[in-house]
Amino acid sequence: MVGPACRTRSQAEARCSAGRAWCGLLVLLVFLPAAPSFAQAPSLQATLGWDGWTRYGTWNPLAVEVRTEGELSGWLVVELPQEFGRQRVRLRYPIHLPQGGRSSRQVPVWLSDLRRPVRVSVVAGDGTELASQEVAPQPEAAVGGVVGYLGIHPPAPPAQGPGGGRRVVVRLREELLPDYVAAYASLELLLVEELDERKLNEPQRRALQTWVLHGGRVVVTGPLRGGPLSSWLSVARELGTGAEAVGLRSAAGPLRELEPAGDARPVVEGSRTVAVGSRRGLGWVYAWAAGSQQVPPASPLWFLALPASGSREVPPEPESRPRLPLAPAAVGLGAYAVLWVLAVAAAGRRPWGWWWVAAVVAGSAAGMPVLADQVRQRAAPLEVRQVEVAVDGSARLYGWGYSRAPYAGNYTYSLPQAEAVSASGGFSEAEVTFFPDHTVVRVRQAAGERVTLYWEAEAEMQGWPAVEVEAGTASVRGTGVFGGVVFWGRRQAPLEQSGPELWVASRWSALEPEHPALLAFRWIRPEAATIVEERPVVALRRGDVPGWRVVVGKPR
Amino acid sequence: MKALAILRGDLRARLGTRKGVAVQLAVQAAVWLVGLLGTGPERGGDSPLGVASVGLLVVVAYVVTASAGSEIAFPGEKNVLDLAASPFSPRDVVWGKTASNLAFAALCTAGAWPVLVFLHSLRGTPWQESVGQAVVMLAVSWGFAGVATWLVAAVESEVSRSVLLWGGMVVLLAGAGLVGPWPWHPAHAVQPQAPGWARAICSASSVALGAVSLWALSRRIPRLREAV
Repeated sequence: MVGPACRTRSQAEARCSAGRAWCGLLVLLVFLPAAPSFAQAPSLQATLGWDGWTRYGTWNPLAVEVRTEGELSGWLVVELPQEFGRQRVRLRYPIHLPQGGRSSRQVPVWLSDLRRPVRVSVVAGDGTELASQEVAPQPEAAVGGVVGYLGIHPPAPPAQGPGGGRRVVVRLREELLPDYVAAYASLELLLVEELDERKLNEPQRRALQTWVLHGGRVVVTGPLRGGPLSSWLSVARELGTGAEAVGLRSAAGPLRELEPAGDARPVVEGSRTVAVGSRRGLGWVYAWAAGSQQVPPASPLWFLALPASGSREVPPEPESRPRLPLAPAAVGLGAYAVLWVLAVAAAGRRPWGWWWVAAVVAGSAAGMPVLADQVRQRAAPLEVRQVEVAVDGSARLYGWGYSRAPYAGNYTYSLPQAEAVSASGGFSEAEVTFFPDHTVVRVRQAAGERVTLYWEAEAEMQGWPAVEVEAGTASVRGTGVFGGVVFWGRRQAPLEQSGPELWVASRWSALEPEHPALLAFRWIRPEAATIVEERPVVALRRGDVPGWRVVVGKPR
Repeated sequence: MKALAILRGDLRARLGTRKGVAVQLAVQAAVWLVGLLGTGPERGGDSPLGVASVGLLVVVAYVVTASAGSEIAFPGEKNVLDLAASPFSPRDVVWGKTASNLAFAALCTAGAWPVLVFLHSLRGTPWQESVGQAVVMLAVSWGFAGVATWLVAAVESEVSRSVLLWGGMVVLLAGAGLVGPWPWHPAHAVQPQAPGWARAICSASSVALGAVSLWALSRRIPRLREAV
């Protein structure tokens, strides 16, 4: 029986199912674009240290590779435990990858707790964790010194590293060399037997060069051919293979015949040139006449090439007393008081005034956390000390920030663009976000705790005054000079203004070893006193923050 | 409804007049000052938040009690003696004064509450703590207001009344605290870290004090009428 009622019901059912189909299609259309992010999580691979070897209390490289099939926009997050797990430092790097993209970077991480794992994760923009990995540093893999080599023959340096710890030799590959200079801090020496520059990207090449210019040491044990970095590392010409080394302490076996190139100097033992060394900024590049395995651990060449162990001093912590941030508190609370009185006066005259009273109380209570955050930030300013060091056209910035929390809570500090940041002192959590043009550190502290931040960055050479050093006189040309001092030999001279944008140092006196500029230079280079004996060092007072700009001149 | 008329009249006098606005301005100035003092950094584990909380309690309790006890006389406000001479029944008078004391105490507590929220946010403690503190403030100030209302009817001499009222308050707020560290004492119960049971006992006993005072007032009004 097919009656009108039945037909009506079946038409309604048909309309209903068509509606359901449209709804289903709509849901699919809404969720389909989001589906790949759920289905295709990026893959993450992280390795810590130099082939797993790490050094305690300094920067170590953390190699992270991220691959994604879909588009990825979010954060690479590295969580470092500190102080027996009581503290946690979270480093956040922005990451943007196209479909099928791959990112490989070696970020510097400050290791001070080697018993707890470092957690690496990829987090989407909305905070969803897409992939994670825990890298557990082994306490027995923490060593006193690391010597890396590029090549196939492992060298044999002295077994004891600085501070009496074990020294290990690590075979490196070009691809694993750090992108950031700071990560080289845990590497004592790099031996280069072979170098394929094609495997290096521009940041890696620049980082290696900057590391050497700012104190790093490289030993070349084989012929280098190829690109600009190889030319830069070439300090000797090879004239051929010479006779066997007999009775030498430096090396055994056949030696290459080397001729110093440019301003390089030969290292001679028993009338044989066993090595050639050349200054590159504050660092050294050596060419050995022998292969790395021909140099025994007791060879003087090791003592020449390895950096002298010296502990770095840090700036004295300023005696900062928390500021009582009365002004913003007074203004904020005062504004609330005025609003309250106006609302209450209105409520006394008109019934609708009570709504105003309610709105003022609710709105003010909601706004008070914002006011409190402002007051808290002003109460704990970061006292900054910065030292910039320029050598042969390359400048690095080193900064220390000190703050004491008068209240418990979160504190946010803005730092210049940094490549590495470490936090120490009193705090429970620190989050460091590396933006392209600046760095933001958010620290959770209890009342009365002091936090110390330390950061390193590449500094722009633009705007630096030009320094000319001639016999007996040093002159500085440029804007933004606020006085300074020149150290040279065992003497020093104050910079005196002799014209617009021209400063001259000519009144020499005996060197003051405790001069503030020299002390500041010692925070970066423990051997600062030796450096100023060999070469002129111009220290310019910074105008923006307490600290110095140090220009290292050419050696005499 | 007559009780509501008393409530409306009291609030209009306490808020809608120039003097009422001036009193609110003075109260907010005191709250502002206490709030500023509360921003001091912690020293040796002592937080100024505790001191500021007691300060806010004193400010709120003072203004509510003084208003209820006619120590601050607002133009147009009818106190208990005026109302006793009016056609309102004792029950209406008591309920009206109960409501007006409660509304004014709630208003003054609400005025101080955002400052408590600010001090909690500043020190990273949960703002919800301030709600418990506000409840203590409300209960204590309403309790004192009840006593003050009763004293207006019970004590004829203004000087004696003032001495009794403020002497009693000082003894209760400051003196009793010296006797022992009673957690349920208002000066302790209003502290940010006070336990919930202490706040409950403090609030309940304050409400009981106010209720007993207002009950006594209801007994007093017929005698006042007989005397008139």
